[in-house]
Amino acid sequence: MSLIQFENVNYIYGVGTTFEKQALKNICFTVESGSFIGLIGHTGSGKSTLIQHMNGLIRPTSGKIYFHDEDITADGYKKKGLRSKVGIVFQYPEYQLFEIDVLADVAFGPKNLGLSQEEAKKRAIEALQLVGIKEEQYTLSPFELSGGQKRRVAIAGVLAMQPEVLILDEPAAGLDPGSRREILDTIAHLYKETGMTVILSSHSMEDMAEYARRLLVMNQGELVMDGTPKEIFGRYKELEKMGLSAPKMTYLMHSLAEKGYDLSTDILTVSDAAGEILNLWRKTRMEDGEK
Amino acid sequence: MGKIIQALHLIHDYVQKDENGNIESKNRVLRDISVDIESGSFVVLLGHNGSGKSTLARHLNALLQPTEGTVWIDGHDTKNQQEWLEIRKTAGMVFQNPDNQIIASVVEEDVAFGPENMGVPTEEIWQRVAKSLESVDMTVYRYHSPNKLSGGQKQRIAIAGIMAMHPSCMVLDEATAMLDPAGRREVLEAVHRLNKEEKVTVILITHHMDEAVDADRVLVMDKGQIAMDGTPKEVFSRVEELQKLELDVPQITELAWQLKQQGMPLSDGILTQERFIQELEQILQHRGRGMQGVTDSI
Repeated sequence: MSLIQFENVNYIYGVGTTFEKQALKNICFTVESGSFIGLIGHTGSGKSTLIQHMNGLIRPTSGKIYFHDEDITADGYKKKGLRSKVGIVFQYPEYQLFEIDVLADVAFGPKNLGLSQEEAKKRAIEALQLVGIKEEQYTLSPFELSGGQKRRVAIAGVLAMQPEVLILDEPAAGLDPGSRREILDTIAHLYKETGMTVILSSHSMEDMAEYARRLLVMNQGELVMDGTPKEIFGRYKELEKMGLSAPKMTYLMHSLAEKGYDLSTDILTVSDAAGEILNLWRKTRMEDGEK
Repeated sequence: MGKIIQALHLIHDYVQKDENGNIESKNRVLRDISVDIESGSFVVLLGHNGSGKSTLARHLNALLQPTEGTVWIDGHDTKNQQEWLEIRKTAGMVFQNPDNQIIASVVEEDVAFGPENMGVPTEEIWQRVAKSLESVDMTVYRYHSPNKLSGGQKQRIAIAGIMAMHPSCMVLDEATAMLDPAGRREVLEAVHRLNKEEKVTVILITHHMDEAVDADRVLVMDKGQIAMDGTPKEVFSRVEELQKLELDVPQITELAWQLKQQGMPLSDGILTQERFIQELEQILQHRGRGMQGVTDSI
């Protein structure tokens, strides 16, 4: 089922000024309900502008955007409902924490939706459970938490609005490896548990390979590739021209294949690469045994 | 080679006081650290958030003073307030957020800010600015406004600003954390070049394990102490310990480690793809190369 649909969307910054710049060029794509999409592109490629179109924060200069087949760019479309249905977690969301304690911070969104104190609190607790924040931390100031925990609280703040789509702009940026894994595993867990549609942007191709099922590649305001991680990373030479790359394991497997080894090259993760190399090694040892 | 940095039994407590100056709580973030850094070396400091990396970094240019113990920067004791200017000239700091470190409206003025404050003669300031910008490959942006630059370019300007003070040591506290891969590469190349060509001692704090591969020495911090200290090869051989400290190893190192667990005779602490392929080829002894390989082995 089509959840979000972009139809020939263009966006131009500062029309008529010397800073005029076309940030999105003729973007067309459809997000199916229940998908897990990774958005890649180097800084300035238009990723964040694209994301801000999805919940109506930015209105396209031309073109149409549909949410549940309703045109959100039309006059009179109620954007308030849209913003709770399409939740965006911006970069460094922990800078937006402000309430006196964790629970109040997460309950702020649903309270603003007009829910009762009780209902808002209930939703906040559900959201905090989903991101793995323990009950004894509810009463702490958000500023007493670690970087990874703060970020999970910020994500809970968006989840408490019960969105149908969760969009995260570089959710793991600036975190240490432990917190990084923690945050990405939390998102993967959420996706599995709730069936929510997830769109996430990242500069780490390794993370994208591990988590996303479909990749969208942005370059200079255009959507230039759309496919599975294996399809996209197979085109690593094109990605490099855009200042992007493939996961490290893909490069390794290509080098080995170029040397003539009978190995698959559409490998993205360490565990897949290990499996492939082990198989080859065992095969050569079996041949030894046969001799 | 001399020691540019010496820390002896360094302890740091963050103390929280109430309105009347009574101590409310005490948090010990550095617990008895003793470490020497060789002049001219490239040292990478790893550790998860809260391990004490940034606090240690702030001791290296006297932004913080020890609760107990002593830190000497090029022989100057950081407890001595009269030495602070000298210490900060010796050890420059680059911080995480590129947008917080640029103050002037033109790139060259930003780079000139440091030496100007030190009272360097005008003529020499311009020479230093030109040379520093060149050393980070930013000369073409000399007359540009910094606000139009990318994150990686801004960080290189921040580095140039420090270079213009002619430091013998540079501390980069997660200076690549907010950059995209291209920006990270630019900054790392610039820093490595300064280390090689200008012999600047570099202390690089990072969460990206692959940035540690080319270092002379890797220090791993945990709970306010130095948990590991060695060459990248030595440190990254200890995969399980690193994982316990919530750190990673570079992917190629992890691959080699996983294969070794399965019985493949690979060595510990493989850090590069070249090395991995070399060892793998030895193990496979030219077999496994598709059809051609099979005929060869017959």
